[in-house]
Amino acid sequence: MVLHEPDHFEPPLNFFAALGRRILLACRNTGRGTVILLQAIWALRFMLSRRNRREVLMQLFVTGIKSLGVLTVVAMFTGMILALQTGLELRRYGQEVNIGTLVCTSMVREMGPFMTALVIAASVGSAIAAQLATMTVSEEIAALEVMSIDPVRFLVMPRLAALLIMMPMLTVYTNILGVVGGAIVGWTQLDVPMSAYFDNAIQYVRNKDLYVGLFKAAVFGAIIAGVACQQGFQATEGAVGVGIATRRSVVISFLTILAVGYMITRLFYA
Amino acid sequence: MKRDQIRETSIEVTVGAFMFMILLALGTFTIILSRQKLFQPTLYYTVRFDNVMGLREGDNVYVRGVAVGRVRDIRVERTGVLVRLTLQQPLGLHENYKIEVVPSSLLGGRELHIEEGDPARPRVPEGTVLVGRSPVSLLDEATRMIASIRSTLEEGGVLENVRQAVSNLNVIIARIERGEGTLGRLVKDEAVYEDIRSITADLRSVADRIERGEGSLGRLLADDGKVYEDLRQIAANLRKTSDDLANGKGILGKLISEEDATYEDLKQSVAAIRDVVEGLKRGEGTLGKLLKETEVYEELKQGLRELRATIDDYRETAPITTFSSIFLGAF
Repeated sequence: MVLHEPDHFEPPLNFFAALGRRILLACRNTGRGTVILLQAIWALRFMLSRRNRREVLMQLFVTGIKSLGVLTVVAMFTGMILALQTGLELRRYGQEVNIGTLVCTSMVREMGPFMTALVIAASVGSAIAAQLATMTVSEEIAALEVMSIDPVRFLVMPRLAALLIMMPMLTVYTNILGVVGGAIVGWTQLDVPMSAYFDNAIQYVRNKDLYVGLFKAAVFGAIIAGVACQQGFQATEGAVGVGIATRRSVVISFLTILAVGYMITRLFYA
Repeated sequence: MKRDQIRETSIEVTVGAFMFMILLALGTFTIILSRQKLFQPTLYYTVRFDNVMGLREGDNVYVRGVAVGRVRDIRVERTGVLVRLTLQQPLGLHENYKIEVVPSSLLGGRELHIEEGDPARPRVPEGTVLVGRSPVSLLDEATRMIASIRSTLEEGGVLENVRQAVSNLNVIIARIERGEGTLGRLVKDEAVYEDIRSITADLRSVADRIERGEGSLGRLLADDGKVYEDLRQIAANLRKTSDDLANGKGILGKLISEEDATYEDLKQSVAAIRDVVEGLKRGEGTLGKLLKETEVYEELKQGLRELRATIDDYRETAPITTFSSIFLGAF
């Protein structure tokens, strides 16, 4: 049961009443989202079933392959900007050869998962929210429930599976392109030879950094799926509601990704 | 239907290929970042330190500047810190080997440096727990150095001297600002500046003339080398003369030589001359009388006059006498 009656509240009496209502609604929506996410995680055991396999494959394709274009540009420029900014500063101290370490560490630990999550939240997450919101306002979800088809298993689980699988994969892709972008800037702008850059790049990066980054990406994938699906199922008021759900999905995903990213970093490195 | 199947197959292939490539890249990175070299034997060494100053697992191990392995694990024990190293090549350590933890860069990080020691010394047996030197903390060293400098400045009186010097400098600067003293006038007085400018202009003019080869100095510095050759010749002559003098050659050399014989001779000659002159002054001897007595002079004058007359007579009669001699001689 993912659908609920639309919210109809009397106008708040004062500022504090409005604030309290917002906090309560945020808690409720978080709860609903968490429940949907947990249900979807539980439903992952049906991921490879004949009925779901095709949908999972489609979602893997949409999430992974169709995002490669924008992700390529974002990853390359992230690495290039990192290399240029740090390289120009390091050049003042004659240490520009160390940009390899800085770019690789930044990309693997933080920027890779973070940039991937932002791109996916903005493209795939918003698409999921819009699609589910449209289905909700056109009562397709209600129809599924009437037909005893679990919308979570049928709609959410494939998307969650695709994001859980593809986010780490796309993060590896982003990391590689980011480091290569940094190398290009190092070579062309800062006169750092490619060999020195890559020697330096792997100097201080550990497997732990790589896998914590991938874990972070998987968590971000779950967040994007959970937030997008919850916002989609909660959409009301027709086309306007779809727009609101899409916008909220992106905003909430961004904020949650930032906060959770900090917590994971603190958990593993602090 | 068939079209859908083809599309689905192409999606499957695309997704599969992408995931295969990414997993391959991930595996490669995992191997690279774990610093493990496959198909190469790994050697283990254990080093005991008192303190490893933040050395971490995975830090590089260098032998003569070449990365040969990694720090595998670090254990704190009662007797110190045991660091286990994995190396890709064996170490040939000798008894005076050196193993130390050093900062890898100014940005942080540590690495292990190994010096194998003098080959003339005995080898360290394999399997020995090696002993590492306690690392030097640059921060501690810097702090100690600053404390030392401060102590020198404050207790050694350097600071007081500097303070006094600065005070004196302030007084000097104040005097200069007031235009006192030579330096003050130099700074304040426009006339001095004008003089200096004039001197500079003159010097420049002189320099120009010298450069053009004008005047003695200019000719001296000119490129033809004639004056230089002359001067060199003069210098050579002077050297030869001074050598002769030094060697006691010539009259002047003999005079200034350490031998007194010439000097004594000269002294006696001068004394003899002085005696002669004094005798002449006193009118002694023929020359003295000639100088002192007028009669002798008159007689000498008369005698000379008569001698000239005799010579004149002889000159007049000489042809006749010669002819007569020849004529009479024929018979």
